Amino acid sequence: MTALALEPSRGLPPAVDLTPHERALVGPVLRWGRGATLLAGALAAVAAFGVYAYTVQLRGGLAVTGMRDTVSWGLYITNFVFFIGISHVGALLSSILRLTGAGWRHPITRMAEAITFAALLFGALMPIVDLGRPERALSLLVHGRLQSPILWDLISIATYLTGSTIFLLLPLIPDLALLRDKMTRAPRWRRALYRVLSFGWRGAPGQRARLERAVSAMSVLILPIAVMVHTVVSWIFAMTLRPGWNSTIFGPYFVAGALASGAASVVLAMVAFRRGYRLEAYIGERHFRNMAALLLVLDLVYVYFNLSEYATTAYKMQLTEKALLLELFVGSMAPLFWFTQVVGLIIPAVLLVLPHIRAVRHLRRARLNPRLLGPLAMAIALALVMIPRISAPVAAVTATPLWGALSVAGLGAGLLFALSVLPFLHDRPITSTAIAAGLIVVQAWLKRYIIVVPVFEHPFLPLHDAANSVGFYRPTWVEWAITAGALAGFLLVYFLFSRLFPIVSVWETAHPAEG
Amino acid sequence: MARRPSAVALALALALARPVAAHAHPQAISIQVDQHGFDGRPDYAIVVEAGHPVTLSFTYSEEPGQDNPHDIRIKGLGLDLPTVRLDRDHPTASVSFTPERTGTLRILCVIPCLGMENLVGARIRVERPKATGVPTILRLELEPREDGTVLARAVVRSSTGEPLADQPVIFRLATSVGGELELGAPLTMADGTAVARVPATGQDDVRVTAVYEGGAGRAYAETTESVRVERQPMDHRPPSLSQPTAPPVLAVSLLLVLGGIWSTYAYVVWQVLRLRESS
Repeated sequence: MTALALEPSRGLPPAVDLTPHERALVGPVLRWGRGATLLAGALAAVAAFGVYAYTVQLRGGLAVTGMRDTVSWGLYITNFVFFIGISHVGALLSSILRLTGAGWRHPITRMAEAITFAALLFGALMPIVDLGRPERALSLLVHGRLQSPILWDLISIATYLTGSTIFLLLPLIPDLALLRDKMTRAPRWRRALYRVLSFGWRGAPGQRARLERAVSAMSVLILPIAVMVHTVVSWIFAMTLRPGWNSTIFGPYFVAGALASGAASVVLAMVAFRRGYRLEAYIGERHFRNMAALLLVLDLVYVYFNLSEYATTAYKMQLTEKALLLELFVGSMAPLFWFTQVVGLIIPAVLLVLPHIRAVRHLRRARLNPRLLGPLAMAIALALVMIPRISAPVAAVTATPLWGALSVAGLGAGLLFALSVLPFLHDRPITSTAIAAGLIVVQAWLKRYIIVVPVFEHPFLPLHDAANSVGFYRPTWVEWAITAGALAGFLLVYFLFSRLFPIVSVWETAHPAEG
Repeated sequence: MARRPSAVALALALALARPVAAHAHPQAISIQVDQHGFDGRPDYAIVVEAGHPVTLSFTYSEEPGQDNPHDIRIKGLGLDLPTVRLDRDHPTASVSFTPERTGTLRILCVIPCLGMENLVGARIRVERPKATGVPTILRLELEPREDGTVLARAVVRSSTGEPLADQPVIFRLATSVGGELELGAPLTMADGTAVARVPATGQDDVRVTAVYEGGAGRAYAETTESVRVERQPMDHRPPSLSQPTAPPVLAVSLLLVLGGIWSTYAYVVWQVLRLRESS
């Protein structure tokens, strides 16, 4: 382990008697620089704008959203499923790696567990935001029917939030004791927080044994709970008689999607903390290689479920499913759908195996320059998109052979750019894995949107000549603002967690052989 | 409960039944348009006859000075009609057409406007021209049955009381959501009676209309009756989720699963709380 020099602290006095190992990991907790202020401020501003948008919704009701009678679920439920999905990873990843004794897990388990905690907070909020009158959420508790999947959802999310909070807290206890003992000049509220949450930890053998028992019990328990939660979330859809949701594989389908997006979120967190907190000594290439392997498996499993879900229904083209499937495959939703399948799942799989494909090195001989090809491909793509929209005389060029040549040139430039980037990414497995993870996370959100909205736009009873606002869903600025606010809030909670507690477990990474 | 008519009542009904008069043509209808709907109603509805020219005259009726333009369009039945603009500068507009077949047309504003939700539900029902000629007598009675259905029996007679055989009678059921459901058009038997079985599930009041369209020198006739029936349980799907109380197996299963989980939580928390005492 390498000791890292701390920046001059702002606001918080440095702790005393820290070993280089402790100082490296506790460092972000001790200092609060200008960058942290800017980041927290920006996130807080976006979150505050989301809160303002919500007050607009509270005053005007759901009429200020794009949701109507026909499409009554939109961005909020998309966000809900997305957040619950990425929350999966903390529990499952941490639990599976703990139970299998994977030593390399230590630097990343807390990141994963904290993602679970923060994502669940905002995921659980979303259905309440989706209610025009939020106080009626209490009616679910008072008048809820035990047979209703909505009530199961409430119960399972509350259970999961409680469990994941405990699961996050348990391995934190020794580190909290460290902060309690070493941060003697921290503000009183922080010292009180560390003192209360460390539960008198001294590292005694009896305490270790007791903590180990508790962690083991939670590691076993949290696995089925996590699977249960996302299965129940999927049942909210699958127990409804609607084309697109009437599926028997929705439970595992959702769990697989959640695992892939969750693991991708952890990779993004690893990249951010590795660079932002200078944790290169703890989060190395080995961790990214292992996570890439895990992410690849989860990605391919999700691809398999997508294939299974869409191929079986598309083969039959049952009357009620047909309109929806055509909308997804070749209709207005086709760009989103194929983006999720190709750019969000297939390309990430290629990127994840790329560092292992030696043949990519031969592409260097072609001496393709990505700095030249990238802007060229971008310019042609922009021309292809923009020319038909400029004006009728200019748009007439699209009917000429020149247009076909331009399209082929665009495709060619794009392909050459992709080929030129491959050797670059081949040599940089962390970058490659990070890009793949980013694409999977974007795909995860879009896929939830595709699962939720088009189904509402294709009800069993046909809509004859309905106005666009009635039959089709277009989110309003209020929904986008609340969505952005929720995402910023999630990131802010996650960021503040990492400034309040060590984001890499100090005591678990104390032995280099395991870390 | 509907009772069988006595001979006196039947004779009285035959005596009082009015012949249907011929209908005036052409059909000109004026409609005020504002943010509250067509003629101020979101569910505006009119009836016109097929085969005769229809002229709809729209008038912009928003508050004075309010700029809330509407593009009004009439859709359906294969008609290709122009969209007309109504705003402060174009306060009136009209559309003329001749519907050749029966069915429903919609009148709606096709641009985003204030009150657009009130301007998408208007209907024009195009019906067959009502036949004129010798008056006919149409009598309808409804009889609730034990299986939850209602038996609708219509009798068609000539003005002299002779039963008319092999004549189609259209039965329509008023639905609980505001429209009418056509149940069929059985032919009358030798005694002039046509019968239809009416599903009565989910409704307390069953309202049925019988229509004899006339023709061949006989006039159009229509009559409506209603009867109160005992509400029948609906065939819910899926039954396990629609029962009023939770099935015991489900309740016990949830209790066991959640009990196990929360008991483990309690055990873990207990372990944590006892950390301080451990040595």
